[in-house]
Amino acid sequence: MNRKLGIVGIDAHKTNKRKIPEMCGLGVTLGLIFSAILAALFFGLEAKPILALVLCVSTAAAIGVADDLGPLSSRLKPVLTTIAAVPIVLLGAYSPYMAIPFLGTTRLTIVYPVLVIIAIPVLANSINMMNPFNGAMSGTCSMLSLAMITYLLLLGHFSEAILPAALLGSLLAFHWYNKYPAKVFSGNAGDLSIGAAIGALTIIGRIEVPMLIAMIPHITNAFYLLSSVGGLRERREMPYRPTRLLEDGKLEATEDGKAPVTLSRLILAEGPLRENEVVNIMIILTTVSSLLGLLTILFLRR
Amino acid sequence: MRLALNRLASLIALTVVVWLSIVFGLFIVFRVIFEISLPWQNMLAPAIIGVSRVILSAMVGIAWLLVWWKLANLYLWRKLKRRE
Repeated sequence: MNRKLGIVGIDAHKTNKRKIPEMCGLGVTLGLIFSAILAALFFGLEAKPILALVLCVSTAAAIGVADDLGPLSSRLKPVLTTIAAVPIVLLGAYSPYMAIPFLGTTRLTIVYPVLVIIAIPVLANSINMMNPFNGAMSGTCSMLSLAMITYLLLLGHFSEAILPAALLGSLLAFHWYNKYPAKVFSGNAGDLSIGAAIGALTIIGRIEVPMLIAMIPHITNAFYLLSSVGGLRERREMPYRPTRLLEDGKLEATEDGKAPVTLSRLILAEGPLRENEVVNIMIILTTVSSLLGLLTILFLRR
Repeated sequence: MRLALNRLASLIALTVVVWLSIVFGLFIVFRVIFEISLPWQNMLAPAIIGVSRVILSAMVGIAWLLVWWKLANLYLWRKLKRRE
């Protein structure tokens, strides 16, 4: 349908520059929203966090659709994504008691809502920045969802684990079509809403620190990118690219000092690799950071 | 295969350093900075303590980011130079 409507993007890391349907990540968003409503109806989950999750994810998806159809400015997009955090704060779908490794639970009554307003746009945009290659976002976010389920089960939050399980199911179905060579792209709509969903589920499930650790590859990638280009810039606004496509279809890191520093450039710094090999390394790194998050849970005292 | 394992080992080491810096940073913020108090009490004391905690915590955050940035740059340019 998207192809007929002309909602397509160019697969930049292929020699034949194929056109691929965009915005298909909305399928994951719809799958999560539908599953969350079913979970509230049939598993007796509390309505307030479900409503906060649905509103947060829908708002982020709407911002993503606006960005896909008519690009938003690089500064406006993160500002708009803060709106996605508002339902969580207004509905009070959070607990201001945060578990810190080695120290126990800390009360952050005033600071916590501010952290929520900062965290949702940071996570949504860092997921958006971690989608340079086929299957990178869907693969790493599937791993993050699996990590979330494990953390929640280990901490005894059994009913909350249903929501990331719904996200994992939707993501795995999407990954089948998004993996190398991609048949569909998630688009900004998919990336932002999945990032917002991960942020909202982290807050609702009270697994902030382990998820901060699990998301090290995403957060460091976003930080390296922003600091190397000197602030918020869209891909189209960057004249220097972090990687280049070679004639044999492999990718190589560029040597230009002005090119952005990204995780993919760090992976390729040692030598060229195929696109799917780079994505596999990204997924392995997310698995390692998820395991470190698991280790961190052992140090949490509630 | 060996090349992929080599680069994976370096990147995993970077991830572990970032993890340690986060855990250590959180410990410093919540055990040291959040325990700061003033020897005297008046109307201004809670505000001074609050602002000092926010500023010192932000400094720890900036220190994290600087360490990550330096390490990533060091890794990237060392590898790129070796490749040349």
